[in-house]
Amino acid sequence: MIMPASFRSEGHEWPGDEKAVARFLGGDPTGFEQIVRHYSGMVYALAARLVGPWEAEEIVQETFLRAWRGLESFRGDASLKTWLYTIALNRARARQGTLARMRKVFSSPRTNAEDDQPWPGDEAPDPSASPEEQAVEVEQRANLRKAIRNLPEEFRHAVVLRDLEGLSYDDIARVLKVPIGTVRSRIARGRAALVEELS
Amino acid sequence: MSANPQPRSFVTGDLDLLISRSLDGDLPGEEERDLQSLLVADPSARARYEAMARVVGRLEELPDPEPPFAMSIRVNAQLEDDTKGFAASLHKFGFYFRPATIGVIAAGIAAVTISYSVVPPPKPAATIAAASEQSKAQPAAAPEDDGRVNAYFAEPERKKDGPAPARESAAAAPAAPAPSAARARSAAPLADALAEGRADDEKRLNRQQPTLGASSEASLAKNEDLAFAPEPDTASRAAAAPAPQAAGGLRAVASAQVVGPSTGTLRLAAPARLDGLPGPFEGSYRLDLDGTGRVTSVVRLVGGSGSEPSGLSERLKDLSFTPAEAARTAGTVDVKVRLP
Repeated sequence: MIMPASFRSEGHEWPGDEKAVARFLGGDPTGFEQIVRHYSGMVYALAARLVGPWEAEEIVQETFLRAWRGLESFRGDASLKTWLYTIALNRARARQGTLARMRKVFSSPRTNAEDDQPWPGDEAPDPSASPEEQAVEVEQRANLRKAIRNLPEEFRHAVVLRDLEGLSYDDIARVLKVPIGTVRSRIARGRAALVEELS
Repeated sequence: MSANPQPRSFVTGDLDLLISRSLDGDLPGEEERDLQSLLVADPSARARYEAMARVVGRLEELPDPEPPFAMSIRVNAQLEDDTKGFAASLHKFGFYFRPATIGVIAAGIAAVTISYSVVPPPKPAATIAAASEQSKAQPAAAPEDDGRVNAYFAEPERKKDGPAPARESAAAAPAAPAPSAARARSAAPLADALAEGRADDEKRLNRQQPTLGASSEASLAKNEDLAFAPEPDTASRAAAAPAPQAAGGLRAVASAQVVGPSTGTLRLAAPARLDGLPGPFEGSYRLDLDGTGRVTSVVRLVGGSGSEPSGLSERLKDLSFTPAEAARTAGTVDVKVRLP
């Protein structure tokens, strides 16, 4: 496999947010490559949960491109992960807005065909389980993901960031740029909506 | 044990919020105790709690989506492509302009450059006033600073709509494209101005003022002081703003010009009527002058080309020259007549 020169020449160990950012801002591009290697999986997971795995890689690409251009504005108040999540969330919002407008223009109602498909990696959740149990598990996961995607956007973002990404209320408030009380309320209402949807 | 034996009742929204916060460990001690009391006392609240806890558990058990193979390598490679260019090169120096910012700055610089190169900067008011003043008295002049003056004389008869607006090429001339009033002023014949005895006319006539019309005339003959354009329309156009020329950008007009030793000292005081005379003809004449600068006799000198049209000598006798002192001193003046 052909790998970029920087991949071959620099170490793969993660030096930490501060050092990686400082290295990049000092003019060393390998600092950003380390950031991409360390955080791209997390950003992908978030993007996949927000827009689906089929469009997530483009969100990741856009997120890191914007991060590259705006890393000098990263002040370190929050973690780099939170900052990247903020960018990814905004890109996901923009993408979904664009898709919604396109659907409106072309009078194409949203189809749930993608929601019904199993996600990559969901086909065999537990190799030791029986085929019937595996099928039930796959179906339950698909239903849960579909229920998440059917949540109103503000609830979906809050629930995903809390229950799937494990962010604290404070970090969620930073990412969503809302007061912490709003975060609590959105999470509670989102979870309640999921209870209703899945019951 | 709680101080309140009767647990508080909650509306569904409040209960969901408390349950959600309780599941996250976000409830303070007293509220947590109140909630637990309620859950013990109220089976429906307990069921709600368990349902929400089950959903949260299922959410947390969802596996992370597996990123596509070698995604970070692709992202880095794509970044390398996307961040090439001027903005990326500035990154090495600690500048992090976004491409859009670079584009806006470049567009601004280009717009300013184009506007300065295409649109001439506005003249100060004083300059415009001076140019306008000059254009009244000196509509056209020679393009070369050789100390000689080319001037087109319009007929006394004015044509209000005659003069065409000055063109871009006349920007170097004193009269820029002007409103109709200014055009009318610039179309005023220089002879009128001379007749009015304006003190500064001589200086202006001796000054070089390049225009298209002057260039054409200058190309026809060197050493000319004054050119007469007897044809009314032609004269007024040339006086106001030189019109587009014929082939080669030149337009021949009937003219009489001072040549010989009187060049630069004598000039015509009134326009000559040479219109209607057949050409082509070119000849030189020596004119005897009286003490006031009027012509008393006409003698054709040797040379020239073409046949002299009848009536030319009589018309030359109608000329008068100024200043009177120079005419009196010289006694004669040689003129060269050219009929296209």
